[in-house]
Amino acid sequence: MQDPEIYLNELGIQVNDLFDPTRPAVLDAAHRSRVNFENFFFADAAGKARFDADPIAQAGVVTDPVSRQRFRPAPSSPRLLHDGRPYVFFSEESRAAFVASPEMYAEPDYKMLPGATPEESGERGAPVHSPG
Amino acid sequence: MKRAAVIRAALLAGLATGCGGAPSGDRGREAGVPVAVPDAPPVGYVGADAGDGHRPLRFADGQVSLNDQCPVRKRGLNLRMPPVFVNGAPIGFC
Repeated sequence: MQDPEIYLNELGIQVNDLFDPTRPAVLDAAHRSRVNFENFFFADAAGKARFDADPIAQAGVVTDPVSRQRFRPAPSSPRLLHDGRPYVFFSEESRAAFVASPEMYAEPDYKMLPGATPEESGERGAPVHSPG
Repeated sequence: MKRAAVIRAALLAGLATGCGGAPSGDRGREAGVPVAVPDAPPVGYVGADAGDGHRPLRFADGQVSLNDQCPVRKRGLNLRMPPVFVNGAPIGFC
């Protein structure tokens, strides 16, 4: 999902500020930050600046781009900057795999989760497809 | 005596677990070590299908998707598609 604000606005989904849930976030690229596959929106530039000062520390639970493990990063967690976006990893092995093939891991590949039957999911198509 | 020691150890373990994540309301505090979070896939839908298949997804950790239809195709959400997170809340896909 390259520009989630487009779809959020189309669907009329309201998202509140990450730091102050009583304020609506502005859903545009100027008020958005990213860590790994996670997107964060803010009510104003000050909120975004606060987040961007130490984004990995502010992100909370994130998804390891390689292993897909959900985790809360630590100061010791391996990390890097790729195409201007901070990435943090659950392990050094994940970081090494990302460095070797960033094109494979920089964006989610939207593979279907195992387990559910096509009937349960309402789908009859191939197990991998682009998100909709 | 032995039972008391076991209870004390259990209480300490509980406190340690409670201190493992960031304190509530303080997103900026990283834990001392990375803390794995159990996977929480979509487990069902919220509410009844009104005929258009547009229902939010319910996840194993109790979260509910912000959307009730595909961001792109505007169809019903798929239990097998992993979510994208916006401000910590899941967005479902199809």
